[in-house]
Amino acid sequence: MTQPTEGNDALSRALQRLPTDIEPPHDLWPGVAAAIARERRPQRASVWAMRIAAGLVCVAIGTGLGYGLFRGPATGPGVGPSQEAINTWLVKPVMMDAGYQKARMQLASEFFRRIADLPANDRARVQKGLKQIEDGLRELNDALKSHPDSVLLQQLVLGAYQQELEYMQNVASLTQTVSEQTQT
Amino acid sequence: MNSPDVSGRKARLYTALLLLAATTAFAGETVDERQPATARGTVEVSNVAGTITVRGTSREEVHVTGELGSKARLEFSVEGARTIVKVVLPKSSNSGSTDLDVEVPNGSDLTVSGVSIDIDVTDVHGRLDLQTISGEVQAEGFDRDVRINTVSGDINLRGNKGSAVANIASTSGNIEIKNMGGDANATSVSGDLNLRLTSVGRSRLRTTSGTITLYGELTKDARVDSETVSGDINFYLGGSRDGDYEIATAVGEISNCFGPEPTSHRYGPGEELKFSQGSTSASLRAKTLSGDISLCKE
Repeated sequence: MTQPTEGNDALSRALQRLPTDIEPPHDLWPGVAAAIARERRPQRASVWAMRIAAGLVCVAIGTGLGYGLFRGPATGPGVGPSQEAINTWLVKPVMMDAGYQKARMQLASEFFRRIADLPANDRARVQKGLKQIEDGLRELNDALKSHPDSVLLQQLVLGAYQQELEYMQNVASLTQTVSEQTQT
Repeated sequence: MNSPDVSGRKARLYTALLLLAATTAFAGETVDERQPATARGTVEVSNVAGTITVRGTSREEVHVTGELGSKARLEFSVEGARTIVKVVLPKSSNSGSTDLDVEVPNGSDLTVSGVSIDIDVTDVHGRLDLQTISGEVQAEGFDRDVRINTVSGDINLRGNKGSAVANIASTSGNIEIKNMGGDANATSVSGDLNLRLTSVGRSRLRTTSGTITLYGELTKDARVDSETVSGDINFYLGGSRDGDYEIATAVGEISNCFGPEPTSHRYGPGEELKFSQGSTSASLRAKTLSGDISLCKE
């Protein structure tokens, strides 16, 4: 089985492709600066969006492969929740392409299917953990709306989406392993 | 090539040996069983609820003691270099807490898993793979790679000052790692990460809201990456502290006890600090949205 660290490698590769700095704008008089910013921002945001989406697709695929999601239908107890139910938990992804969203939804479906078999207290703790990650993502996305050119925020958003994927994979993997090793 | 008769006899012999090596104890019984095991084999222990305490010894045997919970039974078998100790409950039964003490050869690789169990491992020097849904995990005196995964419950690791690789994950528990060198990767959503390492190699530390604290000396090719959304990050570094530093907050503050002062972002809140000292290829990166970051001498 592929090790979870492959997701980390994918992230590392994606991060290596990111610029470590962005040239600050020149000190032009405010009117000209604003006009340039109006033209440049969407372009830069678009480039960043593509880079982040590409990075996360790598992470999602790496994480998904690590868990074996793309090898065939999942087996085991429990019935997966509907996409609508999952969407009530997860922050609506911004700037992400269909490949990433599909991988994320598959992982989330497996995550919720697995935790359905946990004792109620543990399930509540796991759900609370996911909610905290989603709250963090929401906070980051809000900050990014205010500062769309911030490289730092882009990187933090990327990291938070990766943490979300790793968390769901980790919990699903843990519950599956424990279930297999303790069952009759 | 063996004739069918010889193969059949061998198969019957192996089956008989396997049966001899496997024992079963039943619900409510006191357990005190031992079986020979290889010095560097694999021991797998699982339990649904209760505790698992494992201690490494110099003897080449696995010794299991404890008392089984109601409805529980114990399967204890040896297959070559692999020893399995398993507490089994009937399907759909969550009752019956079992406390097990297991002695294993101290060179064993050890796997422990359970649903609601506390795990305590001492002096086992092979690879450790410890997983529990809820419960605390402690490991002391380990030398090699450690993987620990838990949803809730704290994790406490104390190494032998040797170089190891630790991959630790918890949802809400605190993670503490002491007396270990090498690579420490730890992640928690809301728990704190406290690491006191003898040397710091490659380390990836991440929380959502928990605080990250790292004490240690960077190796020449160290690579430390840490990230939080709202948690603080504190580094206390010993030795020369040579390396490339890249630290940034989107909202929070940065304090530095050595090297230059942080600067404010030119556009928007937050601070950043970038500097290099010495000539090693070590690097330390830290990022947070709203937490504070501090960099100090150990």
